[in-house]
Amino acid sequence: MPKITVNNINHNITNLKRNLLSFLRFDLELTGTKLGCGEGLCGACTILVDGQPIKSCMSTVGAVIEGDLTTIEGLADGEILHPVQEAFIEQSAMQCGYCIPGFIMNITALFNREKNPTREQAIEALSENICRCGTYSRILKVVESLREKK
Amino acid sequence: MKKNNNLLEIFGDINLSIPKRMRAGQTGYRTVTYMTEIPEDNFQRMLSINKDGIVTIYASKVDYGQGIKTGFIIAVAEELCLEPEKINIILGDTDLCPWDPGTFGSDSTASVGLLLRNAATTAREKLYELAAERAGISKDNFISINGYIEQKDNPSVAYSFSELIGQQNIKVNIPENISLSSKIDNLYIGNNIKRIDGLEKVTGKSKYSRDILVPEMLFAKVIRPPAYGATINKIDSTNLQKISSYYQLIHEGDLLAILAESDEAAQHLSSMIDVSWHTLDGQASRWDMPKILLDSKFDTSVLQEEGNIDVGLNEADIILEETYYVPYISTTPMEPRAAVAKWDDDKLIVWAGTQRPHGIKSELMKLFNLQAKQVRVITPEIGGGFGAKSLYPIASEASILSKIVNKPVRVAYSRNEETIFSSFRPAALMEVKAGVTIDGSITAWSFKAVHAGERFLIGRRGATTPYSSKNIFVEVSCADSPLKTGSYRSLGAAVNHFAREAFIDELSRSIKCDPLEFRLQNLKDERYINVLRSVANKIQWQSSTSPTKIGQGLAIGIDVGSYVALAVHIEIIGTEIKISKVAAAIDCGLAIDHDGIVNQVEGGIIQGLGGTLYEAIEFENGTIINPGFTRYRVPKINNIPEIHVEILDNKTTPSSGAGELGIVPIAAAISNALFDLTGQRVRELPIQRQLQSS
Ligand code: FES
Ligand code: FES
Repeated sequence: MPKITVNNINHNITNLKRNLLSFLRFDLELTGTKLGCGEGLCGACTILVDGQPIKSCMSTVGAVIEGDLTTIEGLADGEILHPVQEAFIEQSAMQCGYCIPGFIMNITALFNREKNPTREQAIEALSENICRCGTYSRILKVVESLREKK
Repeated sequence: MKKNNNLLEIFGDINLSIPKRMRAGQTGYRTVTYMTEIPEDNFQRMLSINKDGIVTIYASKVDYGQGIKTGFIIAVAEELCLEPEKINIILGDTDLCPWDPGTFGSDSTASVGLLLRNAATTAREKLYELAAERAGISKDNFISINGYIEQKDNPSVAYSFSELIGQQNIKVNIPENISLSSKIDNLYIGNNIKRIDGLEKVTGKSKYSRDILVPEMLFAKVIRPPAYGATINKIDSTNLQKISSYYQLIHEGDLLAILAESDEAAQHLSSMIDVSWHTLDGQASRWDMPKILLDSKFDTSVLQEEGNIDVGLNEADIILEETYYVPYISTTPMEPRAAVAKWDDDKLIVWAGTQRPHGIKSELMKLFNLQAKQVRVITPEIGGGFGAKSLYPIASEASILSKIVNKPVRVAYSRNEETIFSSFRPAALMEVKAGVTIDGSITAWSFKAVHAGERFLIGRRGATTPYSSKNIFVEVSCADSPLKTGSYRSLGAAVNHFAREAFIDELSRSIKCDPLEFRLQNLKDERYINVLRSVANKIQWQSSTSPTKIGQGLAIGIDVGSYVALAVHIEIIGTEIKISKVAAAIDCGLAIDHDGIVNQVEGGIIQGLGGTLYEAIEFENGTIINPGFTRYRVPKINNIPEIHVEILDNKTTPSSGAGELGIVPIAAAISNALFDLTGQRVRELPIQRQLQSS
């Protein structure tokens, strides 16, 4: 049977056509990944597949078979937060918080790719994530603070 | 809930949680939408301390990103002198929290924040009393320190909260003549306390209404009309007969929905149903708006009238007259609304991320003819609201469907539905006429605004002028609205301010006076002058405009009693306006949660930037043409300026709201900067579109 791994747990897949975001949220009850548009336009549903960010609303489960998936729930190491999560708290970079998981996943992927991403690279990486509460400048401060820490 | 043992409970008068301008006898909120009936027992529980010394705050103001959870906790922490981590908070659960009209107008800190400070003070005084009884000395000898009531000059005498409460069940009403500790120690208030809910939000643990999953819940897909006013003509569901999986098709009144065990199944099945609709022809389209606004005015009210406009115009050296226009815009919060309803025998429980939990409860009581104790509305986290989530019609839809199928039911809007079936900030038209002398005095000021829709409070906000003149006339009207209008951050204040502050700029330019000087010359209120000077300093305002590639513009504003001045630098890159810098200075009285306030002002600036540059709802004959993110452009990370927000210290004035301060002046400041840069005066939003079409 086809399998995927989500936050280090294996799952057997019976319905390859299932929308990936719905699968995560409703079948696995990992509701930290959000639906903002369902059309690939807002980034709220971003997760990591083998370390790369994808918009889960635009994918089926079948498309990530054998993949190693990480959602916002799987980022921390037990009680120890991922540095990106820490930085969001430190900078109070959130209001309603609905868009935040998507931004966190994308920034995590950015730092996986680039040791020292520039402001421009950060803007580029986050250019498809929408935060309607307008916390963008704080989110850029998150990136900056992570850069400094390195 | 039944066993109230071993508790100290503080009760407060819910009437005091209603903003003054909304109380009985005050002008305003006459529509039933906002004024749910106030319950008879007006003293309700606002704070409790249990036998373990745990403090819990109860309030029906909800947090959709403004950070009031943090603000409320800070206020209570300060009065009890207790670490914020030791304080719990429950918001918007109608079974547990006091009645409240709803969360709008940034009144939370001013009204409920103050009540909670009073509740905490009452609790502290009661604890002093209990300690005094034990120690046999007067209660004036005690102070509260981190969960202990301590004797001032003898710290070895200290009682924990739980020790003092012991086995008792004490109920205390907040006394009428309560006085807050006049001096704030600033243990927590005014310090940069990190958000209380940060951890939950960065780990994905926060539950929003879309995240509520209850056992046996069915997913509903409501089949919605293709245009406003369309009604069902015929339903053909023969295709469904081939389906073997579980589903239920429900047609109840206007509500047509298919229920299934998964979201995708419901979605898929709904596409197999053929519905033909009766459509309503002859509905207005967006290009009809300016005329509709002028031709259908009603409920005109005069807000300011001094002297005589004609006399004033006669004394003027220069007379200007212009019309400003803004289109409908959408709040577009990131979380499209969702509701889950469930019936436990004859009790209805609904999870709905609404700004008005008690209002939704009243609606449900009416709809099903239920007693107050038979309906419970629980407000989970809310993924943005900005005013529009006061309306929550899907709470009723989910409840109706759940009752029919006798299982919990979830109804959720798609992104497009969230736009189409929400309310909009009204289109509005402002006619401004004024006279000015060469030496800069305003001899006459006439401002006539008309905002679409019947809620006259929207258009009133921010329409009056703070600039001195002997002859002033300000009137505001409602007008017919083809689209549903409703609350939007600052109501009409951002719209009225756009016209007024841009026109002030026009006046100053007409006499070749620096817009900053012109404002300072004509303002009396010190609080305006202070924010204005502070912001001019921050942006390094240039009094003479040299031809540069950077345009500078400024504007001032007031909303819910708070003051703001804002200045921008803009550039034009290709055909795009780029806002490079924004500086804002604000005075919102005593600032409780500094970082939360700055965050709100920044957010207001970004949201305002969208409405100023890009956003406009396009509609034709009852259909919204641009819902969702494909054609409704909102600000993204590459559009944002460098932002500086300064909070002017004002500890002696009571707190007032700050949520609107960013959005109120931004449109005028940008349009003024554009004039500074290009000499082009744009009097219609969104500016980016005007620029492209010119
Ligand atoms: S929900 Fe996937 S991009 Fe918006
Ligand atoms: S924090 Fe609300 S949408 Fe980003």
